[in-house]
Amino acid sequence: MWHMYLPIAGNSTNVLLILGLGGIVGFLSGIFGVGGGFLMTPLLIMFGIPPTVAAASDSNQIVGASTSGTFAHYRLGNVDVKMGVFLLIGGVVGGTGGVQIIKVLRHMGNADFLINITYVLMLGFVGSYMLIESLQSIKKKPSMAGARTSKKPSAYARMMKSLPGQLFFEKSGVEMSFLMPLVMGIFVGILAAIMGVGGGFIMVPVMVYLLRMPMHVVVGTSLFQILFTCVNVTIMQAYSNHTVDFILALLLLIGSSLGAQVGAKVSRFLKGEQLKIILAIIVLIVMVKMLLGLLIQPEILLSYIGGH
Amino acid sequence: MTFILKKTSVLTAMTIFCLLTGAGYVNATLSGSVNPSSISIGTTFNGQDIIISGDVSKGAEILIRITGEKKAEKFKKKGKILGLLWMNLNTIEMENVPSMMLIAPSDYLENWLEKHPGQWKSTGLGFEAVKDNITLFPESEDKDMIFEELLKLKKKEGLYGIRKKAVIYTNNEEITTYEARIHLPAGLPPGVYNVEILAIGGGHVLEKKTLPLPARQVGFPAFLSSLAFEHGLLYGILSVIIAIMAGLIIGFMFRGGQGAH
Repeated sequence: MWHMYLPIAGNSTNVLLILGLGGIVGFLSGIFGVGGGFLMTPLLIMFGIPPTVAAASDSNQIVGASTSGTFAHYRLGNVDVKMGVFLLIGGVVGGTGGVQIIKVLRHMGNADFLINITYVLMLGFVGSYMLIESLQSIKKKPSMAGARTSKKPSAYARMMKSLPGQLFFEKSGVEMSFLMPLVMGIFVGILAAIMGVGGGFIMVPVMVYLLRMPMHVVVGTSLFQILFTCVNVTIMQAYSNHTVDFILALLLLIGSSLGAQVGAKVSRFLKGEQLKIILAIIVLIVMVKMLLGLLIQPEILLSYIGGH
Repeated sequence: MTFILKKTSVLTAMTIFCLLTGAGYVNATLSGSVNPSSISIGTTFNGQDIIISGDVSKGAEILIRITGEKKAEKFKKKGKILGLLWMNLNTIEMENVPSMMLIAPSDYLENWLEKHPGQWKSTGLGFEAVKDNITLFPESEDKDMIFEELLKLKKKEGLYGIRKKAVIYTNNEEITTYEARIHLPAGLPPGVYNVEILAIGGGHVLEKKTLPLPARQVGFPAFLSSLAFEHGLLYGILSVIIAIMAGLIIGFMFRGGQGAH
């Protein structure tokens, strides 16, 4: 009785299972400001949803969840709209370029190989760096950590200062050239398009380490940016590939919106360093899972292309 | 149970001889019907049992096949790169792949086919026949291996398979009444299916009855499918708007709760 038929996926599913799945991923998304696509899509595939439908419906779901999450964080003063808009413009430019790069790679063959390797390396690098950095700064006393960052006007910081178009971002409390978020947006957009994900888990470390934004503002701003990216992806997928299953998305959405609200509240009780450590561990788990997927012989040596 | 040739091994051997040579050909009468006569895929569809029943003259054995429309399908073959990493490699195209192939033999036929696996091929009723009909591109691929993997894939989805112990007989004076309950999986693609009821004896299909079984989406799923496939842009925009509305409503609900504290 708890089953519902998904017309685009062409299969039935347990309503409670999908609500629960949405809830868990939404909770993580509310805490960390990641869309959760890199967790949700593989889980849906595991439960028998065709891969293309899983990815596209998940984007539709993230639109709702990130609306709810952005809204919650906005009320808490955690969204840097100015920074978000620059990242977004860069993201759209980068994403469009990334799609072209993918086309060229597919033409050359071995695109899947490059995508998988990029995925594992990125996840491994980002996860390890965040984990090590957070553990180190927890060990150090707060005053020492402060002294360390102020004493070190590194080449990177000098470069940031020398760029034209310096702006002050009030919400984040940082001053930098508008070119920085623009270029970073392009970079993440390209990677996200190549890897076929929203890019939240790359965007978050970029904002923390390269844009030097405070962790809580990072989460809200990231959700803000993800919202717009996924609106675009959902409409494109629905229009050109017919892979958005609205019933699936709505079920996931109800679960994940509730989860995101709870997550946003929980995130207030966690310190920035703790957030980073937990996110780093999740990213590393996903990396190990992907790596195992590449190393272990699959049960079936054929897979469908596209929907069927 | 009254199939006389089961009684002794000598007679079994004779049966095989008969099955192979076609001796012992007899006429059989066969009637059959499918209930329900069509499948409606609505909001709560979770697969469906269909019941195929009818009469067959004594001595003949029943085999039921449910086959889907033949389609061309595209696959990715997985293989090893650098002797280490498994990933999608070549694209493989297959033509004449039935979307479904469920086979329900009677207990006797099942035993017999299990003991003589080669017979599936000569009867032309099993998966071997499906393989022979499939055309594979590129032709250089190992068809046997690819077909094995295709079977695994389709069996996992519940679309291909042998349904054992599905056919149940009730014996009467001159005829045998049969009934088979077969579960169709929830992932059944919409289309027209053929339910073939075969009366088999002496290695021959003595009589055959083919009944069409249409499966189509109805109600809300049908509405959504037609919107998604015929008005993709509108469907995408609506999906986004509803998702944003839902997100905002849930957001407001939580703000209300927070304000009370």
